[in-house]
Amino acid sequence: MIVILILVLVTGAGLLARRVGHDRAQRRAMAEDGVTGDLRGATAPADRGSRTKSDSHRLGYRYADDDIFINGNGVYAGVVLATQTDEYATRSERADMALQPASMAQSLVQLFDGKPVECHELVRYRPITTHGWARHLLELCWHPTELYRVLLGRAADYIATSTPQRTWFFIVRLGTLPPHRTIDPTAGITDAVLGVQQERLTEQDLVPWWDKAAAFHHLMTAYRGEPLSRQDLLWLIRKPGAGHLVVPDEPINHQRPWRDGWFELAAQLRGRNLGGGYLRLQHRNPETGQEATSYTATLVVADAPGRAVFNPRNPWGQRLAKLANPPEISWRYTLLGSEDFKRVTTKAAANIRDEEKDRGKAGAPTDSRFAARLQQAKDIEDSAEEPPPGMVGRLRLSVSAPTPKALAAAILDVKRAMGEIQVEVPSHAALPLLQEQLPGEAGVGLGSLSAGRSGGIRLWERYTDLYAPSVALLGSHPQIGDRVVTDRGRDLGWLGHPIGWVKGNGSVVHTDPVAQLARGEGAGVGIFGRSGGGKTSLALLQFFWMSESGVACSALDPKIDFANFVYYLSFGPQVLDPQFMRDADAGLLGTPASQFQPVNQAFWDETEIHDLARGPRGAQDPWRITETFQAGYSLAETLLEVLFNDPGHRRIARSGLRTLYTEHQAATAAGQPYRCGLGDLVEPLHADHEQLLADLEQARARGGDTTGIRAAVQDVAEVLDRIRTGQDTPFLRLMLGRRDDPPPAEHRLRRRTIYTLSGWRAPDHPDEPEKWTSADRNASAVMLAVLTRIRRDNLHGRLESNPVTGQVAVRPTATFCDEAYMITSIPPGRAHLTVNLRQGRSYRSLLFFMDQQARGIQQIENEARKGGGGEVNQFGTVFCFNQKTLGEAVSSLRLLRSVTEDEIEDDQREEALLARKLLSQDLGGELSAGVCAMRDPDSRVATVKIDQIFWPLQCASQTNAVLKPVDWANPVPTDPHQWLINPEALDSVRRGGRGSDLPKQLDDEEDDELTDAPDLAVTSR
Amino acid sequence: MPEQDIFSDDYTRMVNYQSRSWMFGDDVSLAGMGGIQWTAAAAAAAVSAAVTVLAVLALWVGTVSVWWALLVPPAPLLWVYARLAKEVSGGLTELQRLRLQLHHRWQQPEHFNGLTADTEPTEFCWDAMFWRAGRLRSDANT
Repeated sequence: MIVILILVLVTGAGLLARRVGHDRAQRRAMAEDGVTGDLRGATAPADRGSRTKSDSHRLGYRYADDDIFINGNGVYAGVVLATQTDEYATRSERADMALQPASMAQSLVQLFDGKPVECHELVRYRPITTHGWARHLLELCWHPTELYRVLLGRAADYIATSTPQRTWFFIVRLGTLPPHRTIDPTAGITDAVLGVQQERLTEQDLVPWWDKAAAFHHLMTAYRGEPLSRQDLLWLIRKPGAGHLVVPDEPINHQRPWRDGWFELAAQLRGRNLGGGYLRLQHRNPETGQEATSYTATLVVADAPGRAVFNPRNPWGQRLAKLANPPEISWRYTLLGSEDFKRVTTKAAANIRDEEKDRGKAGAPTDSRFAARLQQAKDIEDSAEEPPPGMVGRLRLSVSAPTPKALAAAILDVKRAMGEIQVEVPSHAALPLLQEQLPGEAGVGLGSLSAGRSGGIRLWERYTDLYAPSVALLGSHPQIGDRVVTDRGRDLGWLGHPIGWVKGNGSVVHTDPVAQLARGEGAGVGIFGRSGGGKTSLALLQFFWMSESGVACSALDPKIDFANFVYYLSFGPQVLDPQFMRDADAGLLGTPASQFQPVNQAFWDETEIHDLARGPRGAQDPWRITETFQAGYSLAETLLEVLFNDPGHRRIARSGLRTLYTEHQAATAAGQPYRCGLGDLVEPLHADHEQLLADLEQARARGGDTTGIRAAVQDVAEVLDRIRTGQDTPFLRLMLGRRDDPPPAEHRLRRRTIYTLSGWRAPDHPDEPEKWTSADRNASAVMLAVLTRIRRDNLHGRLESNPVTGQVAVRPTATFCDEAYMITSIPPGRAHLTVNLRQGRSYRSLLFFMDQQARGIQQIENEARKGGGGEVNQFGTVFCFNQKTLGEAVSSLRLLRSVTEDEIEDDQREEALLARKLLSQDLGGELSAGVCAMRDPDSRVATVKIDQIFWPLQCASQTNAVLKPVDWANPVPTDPHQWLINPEALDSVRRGGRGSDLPKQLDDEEDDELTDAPDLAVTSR
Repeated sequence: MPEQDIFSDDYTRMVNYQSRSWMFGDDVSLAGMGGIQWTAAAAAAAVSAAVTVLAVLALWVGTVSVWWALLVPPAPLLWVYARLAKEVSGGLTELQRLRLQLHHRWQQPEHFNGLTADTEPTEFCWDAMFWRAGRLRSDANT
């Protein structure tokens, strides 16, 4: 007996000693992985030697196409949900957004006839890796230049390196694939022996599921869900195995033939279990072949309050998204119909009620925790008549970082951000929880813990109503700009060129205003804000991309910004030469007579600049800027109405015009060509004057009353003098062409036509023409001439043959109107812009309206609405740069949010709070130079950092007079491949948005911190 | 629905609640001992009995008086009851926690090399493979 006892004791001591040694080995292993300190409670990895254990298995994926995928016996379909842009949304609007998941869940319960619906909601950060948008855009452009093609391609490469985008996936289990009948009884045996199972899916097997998936996808279109493609699925499978590392979208390139098909290796998830709930993931970079490491842990919900109230300003989904290292979310839940959920809750409620009675009898003390449960039980009983549906959810937050230290910090951040919802890293389930991240059943090897067909691990479950996802607002992620819209196979919306980044999260902002027209939105693009905010730079950026894509762009340029932009891009630093502008004024640039030759000849050849103050006489003569004599005659009549205030003077001028008309008729009858200009009025007026002088002499000789004749002579002389002296008067001289002027070159609409308005100013009393001075009349008349020319060029709607594709279409055009208040202050200007806004959609003509205040846009929009089409925003896109006062900011906010006077917010305080964001940073707002609030054609509003991307574009759009000489001293490479990219804007968005420790940057710093990392198990408590 | 009305009720605490009896029969109040959780009590009694039987056997083998075994039951009884009857913490009941630990100890994947595993695997390598037939989707069948 004693011997037996000794044996037992010795065996026990041996086991104990071995255990101690084993723990030491673990400590060593963890230390090598950068994890030190207390390991109690942590799962022990085995020795590195013979006891290393390995879990190698094939995940249950069997089949996937663009509609469904099969994992195990489960058939799934999914969608990629559009995120919600709620940056400038009011509380009630956010509430509406929040209700989307609840509404979606109820629709799904109905779609599945009240049966339980297994859902999997995933939030992942996905890099932009597709260049498809750029190819598609090139196909849709009117006539892109080589410069455009090269720069667009480079921009596409560049934005592929930008911040990964928060993407919201929603997957539903459609049902269970029935077991296939065994055709070949030996196949099962060989499959078992070889460990390879041959799939036997037939079209018959899949058709019912495709139909079911179609119904699901159709339902989800109401929630802006796009079907989950096979490519999306592959990415989703690969992502959990990469942690924080970037996983590009790549097709499968590992295939192995097997019988009458082949196996494709879609993903390989590899790593090491560090114990304590932490994993070290190994991921091979497909491009470099290098191994990279990521540390990851999954947090589960340990406890949550009985009632979570939606916080519209700061829901937990948004709080997580704002973290420097935001976690990815996997939320599996089973939606239960009313009856099923009632069965779960009623039983529990009945137990509580029984205990309540027992407590009463026993005189048990009050217990607040029991009281809370009792209240819920009573609520359940109260709703017994109409029991609500519910869900059993398993929320997991997955955090990854390049070092254990960063991971520990990220876990702490997540715990803090979740507030009352207690989350923790469980120490015994790292691998099952990783497996649970994978879409599909993901229950292999979980044994009794498997959640069965709902997938994953049946622990840390929460029983809630359907509003649990609503409270989170997981879809909050501002995205703005173009989106793809197709209608019966036709492109109505596409992604345009990039103009910047959403400030909060780094999303790329694509904006091609031509797509706005295709979608039937208003023809206007409003840009407003105080000087120095960046509105001109944005306009110049759009002017560049659009004109190079083939849009015929005209610009009214009062500050010479557009002209300078073109001069610099065409001639580079030559613009700094004092002689340069003299040659420009003389129209010599680029000609053999000038020393200045373009570095970008093609760009310069497609540009036409008219200087209204210094341009050549007759450049805007009515017969020069119109196609026919009649059109010129009609315009000349209108111009004379503006130029002369006195009715007598107008009559005299019109009589001269009639003489020209008579001459034209005679010449046409004789079959002779006829040319004239407004300056040729001098001849008939001079003849009239001579005649009147002769009449005056005769009258005097007769001794009669000469008062009337003298007055007539005086009037004619005044008109004659106006026309004669006008040939040297600024603005007026441009309209006074002569028949002996060199004939104009054949009209060709260039990519860029710029009208510089240096020195031009609107009349002091724009709506009272009788008070106008001669200078006011000259300025107004020349503006009328220019607007007529723009109208001829842009608002014609003529079909023409596309120079690239040969297809017949209307060439898109655009007018850029800087300091638009100057143009709208005169009635013809206002009328022209109103017509452009109202009819632009039909003529495929855009109007860029730039003003300092929102009021200008609102006025012109209201005028355009009065003329018809009042139900559509005349300004499809609006950019608001920083505002000076809160009053202006409120007005701007209303414009951005399309709030009319009748719909002004009830909650003025909230409106003021939102409007404050539009103030400049020095006034406590959020907008700085180059940062604006944008409203897109879908009425989404977000803060955008404008990015020219390329240095030459940035230098060219410099409008600060002090900085111009500095920036313009940089050369403009002739080869667009040599144009340098300036990453400043993207970097600033990364720093300001989600912190600096972004995946791409983190790659470089990993491993450096491994040696002094703290204990994960301790810091994550 | 106005935003102030949006909330979500979490019934987990109620569903996972292990109810207690506060009366023994119609007359005896158990309020003094904080009620009794019968499932935990039964489990504790079973464990306690098992341990006592083992103690009796050990004493008998050791030729020591088996009456000493009467000292054994209270400790496991109280310990097991206290563990099982306590409020759910960390999102897991004690039984769930036990299941997780048992799974962790005994039921880890043994697909290829893990047949002798006595802890969860150190290394893992999971492959996601799709079978693709010789023809494409419209005839994605064999």
